[in-house]
Amino acid sequence: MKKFFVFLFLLTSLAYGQTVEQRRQGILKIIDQELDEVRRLSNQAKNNPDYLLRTAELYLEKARLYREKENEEFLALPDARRRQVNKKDFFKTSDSFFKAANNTCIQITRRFKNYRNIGDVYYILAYNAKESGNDREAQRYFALASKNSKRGTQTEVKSKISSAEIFYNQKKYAQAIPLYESALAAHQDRWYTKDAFNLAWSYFRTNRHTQAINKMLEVYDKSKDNKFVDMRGQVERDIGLFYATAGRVDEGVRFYQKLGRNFSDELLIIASRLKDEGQFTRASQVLDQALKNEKNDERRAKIYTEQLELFDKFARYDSHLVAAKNLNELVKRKKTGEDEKGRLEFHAGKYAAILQKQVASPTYKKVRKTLHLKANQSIAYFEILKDLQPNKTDEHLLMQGETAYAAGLMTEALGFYDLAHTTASKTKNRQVQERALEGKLAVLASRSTPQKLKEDSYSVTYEAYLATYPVSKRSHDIYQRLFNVYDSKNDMAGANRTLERFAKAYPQDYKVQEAMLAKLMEKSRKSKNYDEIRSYINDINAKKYVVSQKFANRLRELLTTIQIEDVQNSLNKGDKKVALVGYHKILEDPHSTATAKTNAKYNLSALYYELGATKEAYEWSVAAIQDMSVQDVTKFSDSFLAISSFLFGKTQFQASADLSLRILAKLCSANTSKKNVAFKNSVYLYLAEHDIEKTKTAIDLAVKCKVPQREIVEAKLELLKDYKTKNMIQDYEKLAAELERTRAAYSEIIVAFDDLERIHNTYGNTQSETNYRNKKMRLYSNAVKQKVNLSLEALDVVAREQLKSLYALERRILSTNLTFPENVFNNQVKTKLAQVEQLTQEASRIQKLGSGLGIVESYRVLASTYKAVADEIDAFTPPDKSEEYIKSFKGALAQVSGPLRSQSNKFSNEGISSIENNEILRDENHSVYEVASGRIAPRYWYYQNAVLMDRGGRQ
Amino acid sequence: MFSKKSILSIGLIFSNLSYASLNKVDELMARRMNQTEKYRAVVMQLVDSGYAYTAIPWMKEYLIKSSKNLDSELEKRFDQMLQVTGTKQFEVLPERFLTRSKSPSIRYILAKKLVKNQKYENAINEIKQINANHPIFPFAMNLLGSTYSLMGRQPLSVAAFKDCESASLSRISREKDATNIKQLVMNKDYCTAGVARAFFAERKYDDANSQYLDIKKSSHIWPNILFEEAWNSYYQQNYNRSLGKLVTYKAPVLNYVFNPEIDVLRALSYLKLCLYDDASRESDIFYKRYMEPARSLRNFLRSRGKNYDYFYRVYADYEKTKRASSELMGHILNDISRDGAFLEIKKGLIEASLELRKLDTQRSRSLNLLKRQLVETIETQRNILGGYIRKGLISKYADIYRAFEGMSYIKLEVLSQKKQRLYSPELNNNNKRGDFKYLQRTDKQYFWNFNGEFWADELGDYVFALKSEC
Repeated sequence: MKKFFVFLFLLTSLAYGQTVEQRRQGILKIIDQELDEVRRLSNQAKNNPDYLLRTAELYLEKARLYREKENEEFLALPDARRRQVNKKDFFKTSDSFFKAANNTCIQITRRFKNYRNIGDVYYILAYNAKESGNDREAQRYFALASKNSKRGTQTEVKSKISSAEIFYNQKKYAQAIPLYESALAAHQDRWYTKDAFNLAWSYFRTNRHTQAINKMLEVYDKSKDNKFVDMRGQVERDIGLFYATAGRVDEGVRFYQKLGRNFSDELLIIASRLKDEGQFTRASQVLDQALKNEKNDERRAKIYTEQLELFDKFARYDSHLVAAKNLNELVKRKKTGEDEKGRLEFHAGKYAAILQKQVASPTYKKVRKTLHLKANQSIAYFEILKDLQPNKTDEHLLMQGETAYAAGLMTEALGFYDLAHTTASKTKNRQVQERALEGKLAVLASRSTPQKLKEDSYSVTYEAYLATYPVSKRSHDIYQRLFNVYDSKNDMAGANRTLERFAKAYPQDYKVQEAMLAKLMEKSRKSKNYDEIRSYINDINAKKYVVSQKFANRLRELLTTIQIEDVQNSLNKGDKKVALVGYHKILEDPHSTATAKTNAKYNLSALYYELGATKEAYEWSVAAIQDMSVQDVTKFSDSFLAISSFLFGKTQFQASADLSLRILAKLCSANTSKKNVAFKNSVYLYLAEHDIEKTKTAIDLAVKCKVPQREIVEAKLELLKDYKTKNMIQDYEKLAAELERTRAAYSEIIVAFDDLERIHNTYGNTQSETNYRNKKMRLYSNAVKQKVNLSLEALDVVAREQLKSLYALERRILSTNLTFPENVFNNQVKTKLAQVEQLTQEASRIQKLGSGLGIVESYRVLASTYKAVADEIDAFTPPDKSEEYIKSFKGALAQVSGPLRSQSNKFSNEGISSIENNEILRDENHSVYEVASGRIAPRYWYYQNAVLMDRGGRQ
Repeated sequence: MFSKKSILSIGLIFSNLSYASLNKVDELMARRMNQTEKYRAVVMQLVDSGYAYTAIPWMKEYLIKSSKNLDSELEKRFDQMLQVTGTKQFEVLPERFLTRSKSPSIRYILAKKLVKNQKYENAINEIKQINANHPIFPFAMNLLGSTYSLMGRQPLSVAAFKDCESASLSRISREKDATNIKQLVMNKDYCTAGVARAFFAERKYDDANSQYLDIKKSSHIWPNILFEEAWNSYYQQNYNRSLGKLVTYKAPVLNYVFNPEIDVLRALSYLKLCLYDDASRESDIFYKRYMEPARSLRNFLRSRGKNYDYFYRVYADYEKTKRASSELMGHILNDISRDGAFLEIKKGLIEASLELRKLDTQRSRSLNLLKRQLVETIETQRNILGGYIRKGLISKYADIYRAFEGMSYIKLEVLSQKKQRLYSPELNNNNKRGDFKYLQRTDKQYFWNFNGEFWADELGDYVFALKSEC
């Protein structure tokens, strides 16, 4: 009975028909029965590894069937579901049987190390490993299977073949070769040809071309025998490649000749296949060989066409272009079929476009070399297209121009555009004409175009364009460019002509006309061709050219400027007289513009200032300020202020003050510090002049012009003094009230309120008097709260007010006389001493004011009061008392009066020290000295020749 | 047929043989002489007196004790003895004792032992020294043919078997003893079969077939040869004939035959005809029928070891009651009991028992000694019988075991074929399997029903008409 191990090599898949599942189930059922049967056998002979091996084979077969089924089910799942599926779980059934097969085999290898069929066992393990994609493991087991099998057995051979196949698939051809060789030398089954075919390829891959070809030929011969798998088709398909690569083209030719086939055709098929397989180099080599071999032009055309496809697929632009050019030559010689021509046309069109697009993209902008290469390639493709499509020559020329332009090859671009324009003119292809012209314009507009080229081409191009399109959107621009070209060449006739054409084409576009006119007139001005300018002005007036009113004015100004230029030149030369005359002429000239006149006025003021003419300087300054804009006045404010100072210096106070006031008025809205200077100059001059009204006017203007408050307050305080001086009580009261809340004016206002209190007292206006007294004290309180430093005068005012209470206390102490009996006396002394204490405290409070008056008077009152009380105590003698009593009484009181007296001295000394240390200059100082010295001190003394002056410096 | 007899009924058999007196034996026993000489003399006297079985122990003793070769007188007696007792008793002796005899019978025994030990050339030498006129010669030729066949030298084998046939026929013509004639006829048939087997071994199946036809259906060996014919037909790829031969075994007259290979060959024939279901069914039926009994038989054989006496008693019980511990056991015992060798052993045992009875009727001083010696011989014979039964059981168990294996292989082959057809459905389309009717047939359409009458003339000549479904 034959053994069943041949099964292993007969595994087939269920790739057939509609009843696959039914048959699969049928087979699985049979396998289960086989397993039962083998188990039954195994039970009878427990230590027979044959049965275990058979079991493993059956498990393997079962696993493969389930895997096939699972694969089908898996692939049938919707994509989304398939992605979610747990593959391990999904394939668990087949996995379990693969594992069972493996485990069984491993069991055999462990239990039956010397099993005669151990090679088969390893073969299954290897096969399983291979199936599960574990090539490394598979290789190991195949090697074991081979090693443990008898020489020449199917297992040994198949193991080697399988191992070789793994190497082959891993592209490890050198390792596959010895295995194939060994296996094929030992065994020749019907698969021999297939395996030998792989061996041939392995030789080929390792550059053993002779062996590769020989093996291929052997496969070819053997395939004729029915015993072997027929591989002739594959050999015929591939041997050409081998021959071609080995450089044995003649043999290849002979081989295919025998088959009645052409070698080139075969090589083309091979190349096409290699191309599809992504093997560029080989495909290219094959086609090269085909070209070497082939002399027939029609076939060469086919090869070139295939090269186009190949190089296209692998983006070999250089080679593609060469092939295209070669093929084009054949097309020109009419040696190709329509198909080849069509393919060339397609490829040339495609590559021309692709390369053009690349050139136009920013990718290569910085890689000039590559950019130019690609541009030239694209141009070359368009050149081919011109040959292929002669009726579209103008379009291709245009495209060449566009490509060259995109690559910055401006010279070439201009040439192509030019040709395109010329060709299109002949064919009356207006669209190409237009685009060619635009291209030319673009070339000329480009910065990268050589200047020389531009200059040579500008006028011709623009004239050509304008001849074609006298009026168009682009023409508008072209006229201007053409004008500029003529202008730059000083071709005034051309420029004039262009202006005239433009004015005709665009009569309403006054801006461009103005610009052109301006340039032309500027030229005329420079050449001092004033007649020409006047001619333009006349043309404008005659409506030949349309310009704006502003421009017309500017033209007039131009004339003025021309005049001023002469005056200015005289001035620069130091000829002030000529300059003065010139300015006066300008002022008198009816054509002179306002600006020119203003300039003339200012310059006149400056000239007169320099000449020391106060009146003229003042008058022209006033006139200039009146005419000049705020900006100009701001700009020249230093000059005007200098003129104002000059006038002051020349004792022209009213003129100086007036000019400053005018400057302030003009600069009122400007944000400049110069207006502060102008204000101060003005207001103090008016104050000095005691021009109350003008002063008030200046202050009002300053408020309006937002001169800093500090400056205004200062001026107002000066004005306040003037009101008092001029006894303008109502204005005085009003301004004081106005400044009452101004912190910077607290001191002056306290003094002012004190003045007003006194004035109202004078007039017996008690209510107002009281009101101002209260106001000044309230203001003082505010100043203390706001920590505002007050002037000594203001502090004196406050001190004086506070001293009133000190004086009252002093009077009260001194008004009470001492009397006896003793207890009354004692109380009176006690009361006086308490009052003295109170007086001391009050004096201390006043001293803290910091007022000289307060300090001096408080010390004086303290010293005199202490002294007076001491004197009174010492002077008192009890009536009707014994001498002894009196003596005792006096002795006791001396102890009271003594300290009072010494305290009095101390106060007077402190008062003197304060006067000296604080440099207090008060009329009241002498009182303190009086108290201290007990002598009358002098009140005033003067230095010799001393003169009292007012603020104006007047005596 | 042996089945009509019983070992235990030997007392009913009456012997007409007359025996010489045992007085001479007494004298020899009383005589002072060399021990071996005494053995020699006793043997000769007992054989001459018709006590061949009684002489066996003395002969054995002589062979063991004596270092000399047998003299012609003793050789003559030894031959006579073997013709009565058969060779079995002496086959158990070591070769070195047997070589002392130049007797053709001893040479025959020796040759058998040598063949058993695969010393074929030595065996052939021994056989070739056997005189053609000696009664053992036809049997020796049979052994020679078998030996050549075992050596793969089929032409020599054929020649030897043909010599065997002619020698047997020649001997039959001269033989008067019915038992001997029967043995010679059987020997001749075996040799005819031997020729056929040699042809078979040489793959000359047609020649083998013709040769097998020379064996008459009435031959004792024909039932077993029928099976060989079936194999021959199988190898002739005449599976229908093979099945026809095998179906003969279903005839009631042959139902004693127990040969599991018959079932295997039947399944194999179906397999060859691609009647996979039938082949598979044969396998299943076989397993179902024999699996458990075979297991029991194996356990039985293991439990009893080499207790030959036990196996003898098992057979004795079966013969007496026609019942065995299992149907299989009964079937095997029945088959063994028809074996020629078994019959010879059994015959020897019966005759030895008769001889013991005969001794009881004698008066002799040596009687007790002789009886004791004969009883030992009888016991040995019983053990030989028991051993043969055991060997037969083991052999049949091995047959079953092999048949199981064969059946499994067949089943696996069937499954493999079925599977292959599922793998390659195009095979099904290549329809060589015959018509639909063949797929629909039932057992009755081609299996002979043996429940009814049976025509003996047609036995072994059936040919099936099954169309191959391959």
